[in-house]
Amino acid sequence: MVNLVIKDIAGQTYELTGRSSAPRASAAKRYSGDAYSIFRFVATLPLASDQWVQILKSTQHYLPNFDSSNPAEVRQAVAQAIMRGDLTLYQLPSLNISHGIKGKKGFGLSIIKGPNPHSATELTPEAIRSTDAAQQLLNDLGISTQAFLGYLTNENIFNGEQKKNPLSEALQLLASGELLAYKIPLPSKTPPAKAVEYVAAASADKPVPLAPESSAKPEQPKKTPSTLDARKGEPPKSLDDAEARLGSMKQEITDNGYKPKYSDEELLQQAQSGEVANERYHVRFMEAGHQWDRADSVKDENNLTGKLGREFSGETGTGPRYWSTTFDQIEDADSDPQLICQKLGIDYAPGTKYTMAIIDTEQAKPLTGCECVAATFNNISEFSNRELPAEFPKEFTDQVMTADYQAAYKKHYESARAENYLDSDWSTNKEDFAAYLSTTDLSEKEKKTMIKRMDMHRQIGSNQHYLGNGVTKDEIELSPNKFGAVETHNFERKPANLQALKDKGAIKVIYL
Amino acid sequence: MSISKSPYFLPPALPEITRHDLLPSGCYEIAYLKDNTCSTHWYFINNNGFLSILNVASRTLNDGSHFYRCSNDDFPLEFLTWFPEVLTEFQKSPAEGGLHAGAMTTPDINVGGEMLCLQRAMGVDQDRGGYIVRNRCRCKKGYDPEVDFEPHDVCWASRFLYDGGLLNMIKDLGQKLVEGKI
Repeated sequence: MVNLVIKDIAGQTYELTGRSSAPRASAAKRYSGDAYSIFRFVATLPLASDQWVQILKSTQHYLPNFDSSNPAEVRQAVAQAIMRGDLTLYQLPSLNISHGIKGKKGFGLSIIKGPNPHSATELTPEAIRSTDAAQQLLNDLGISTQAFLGYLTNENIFNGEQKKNPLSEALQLLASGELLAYKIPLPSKTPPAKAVEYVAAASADKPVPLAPESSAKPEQPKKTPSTLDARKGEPPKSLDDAEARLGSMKQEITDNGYKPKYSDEELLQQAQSGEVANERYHVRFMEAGHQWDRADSVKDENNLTGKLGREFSGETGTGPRYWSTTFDQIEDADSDPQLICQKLGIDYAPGTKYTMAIIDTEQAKPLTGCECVAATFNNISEFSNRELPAEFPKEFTDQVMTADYQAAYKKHYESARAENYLDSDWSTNKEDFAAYLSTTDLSEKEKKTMIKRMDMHRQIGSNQHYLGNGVTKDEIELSPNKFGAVETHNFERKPANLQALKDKGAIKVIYL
Repeated sequence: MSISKSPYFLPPALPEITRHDLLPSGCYEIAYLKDNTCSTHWYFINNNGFLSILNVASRTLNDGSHFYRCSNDDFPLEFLTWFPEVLTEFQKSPAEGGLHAGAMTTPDINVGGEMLCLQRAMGVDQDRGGYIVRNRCRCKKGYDPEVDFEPHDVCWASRFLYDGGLLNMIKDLGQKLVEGKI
């Protein structure tokens, strides 16, 4: 098994070894995690499925049966190999000035553990044969003793606090090669050194044909121009294209920072028009646990016995709510679950695993019987008038689907709950609510309207927290927007089964 | 609000049941189940050859007083055999020959001489969803069938139906009805 150096999209380098190989670099730190986090991590590495398959075969260890054309199965096999120890991933330290100490004359120092040098750089460590030479290097770069020792402590490679003569000992480590110092050009004067991509760590090892080696020219930190405007209203060509566009959004955010795709004004207009609901590609965002049926003991990523549902809490309520939007609305949040939660105004739970289902509604609609509606007063009213005309005619929705009436409903609902006439914060028991209303000064007609409003709550889902503007609250710190995305409500006669939709090519499930 | 008149001829009202433990003449309990998604108790009563479904609350209010409420919604006994079948049909997708996408109700269906419909309820059980049956031939107490008709209805969460045992219980009762045991 060859030692491979892999650079991820953010520029972080890793060394991959087989069971019998040690990492080439002394500074390499073993990557560890549970099976799921390793699977997710493997998915972020820029290796194609066939490259992973070559690597797995080169381990010459037992390989489970998996479909080599299925990227998820291949990544799962890689994760299993890492869990078994047939493969080991090591993170390599970054040789750049953000992990170094700035000096004078356009250079800084990056110091790592030795004696074996960094395995993914063309830079060579400074040749230091004595403590005097080490001190001379610091003097030449204008690095003070205090800054030098502080840097070593911060990097967790030498702690001089309990030492009698910490500077002397640290210089001795440099002289002996236990620490290696790399001179790093400061970016303002000299471009950074090229990093190796997907190349074998040593020429003596058997090469595996991976991506071609990049050119020898120094790599410039380039920013790509923003693609956000070009993405507006431009639907993906397919589910695969949608997934690829989410992937490329990560680079967009890296280069240009997070910017909302649409302004507040545009979002409100889109919500009011209701046209968003007619877009072909929709997205549902949920906690990963919903992909499995409650009775299903096989909690495997490829097992989709669950339904399109989720549990979240946010401004419009707590507990499981049916939340969704369109791909066009969510694309600018990349596939970052925290960013997506903030964009949707829902609570983000660190450590929780999330799943995004991209839905091709042209394929899915006949299978699910789902109708999607932008969550504004007008759009919800029109849907109710059309589908349940006997229960919720226009005269009724015109009266209750307003901000003022919503505030009144919320007030009475919360009073009923506070007095325990309603047995929970999500009760829709009309009889209990009627018992509470009988204690109020409302007229009989007002009481009946209020009871019918609860009937609409239980049937349509527009609860006491419903806002009616059709947009979510944007909680992204750097966003100039107040609103995150146009929210859509889905009406279907039974929850859609994920596996059935996947089998028909109607959804793409992405693990975040 | 506009006038809403009863759409169908209304049969004579059944005896009202105000307490589950004090049933009027001609009534007897055929089944009981506690809701697994909320605090409601459900009693199925043979009410003089019809089905009264009692929705009962019994708990302490925050002012310390006891709150007891017993509401009855009435249906023909044939509800017991009809409901499991219509639920299966209603859940079918358009691709399976079911109703159109977004349809929230069946048409009104003659069941035992009364007009019932099955509807989807998206907002029950924390938006997990459930189902409503409305009887458009029975008007709620306190409503005038000539002015503000309000049908009898029951609403159950899917989790109560499937995980809480309600659907199986109704199927069992339906079987007993067919066998003449109710």
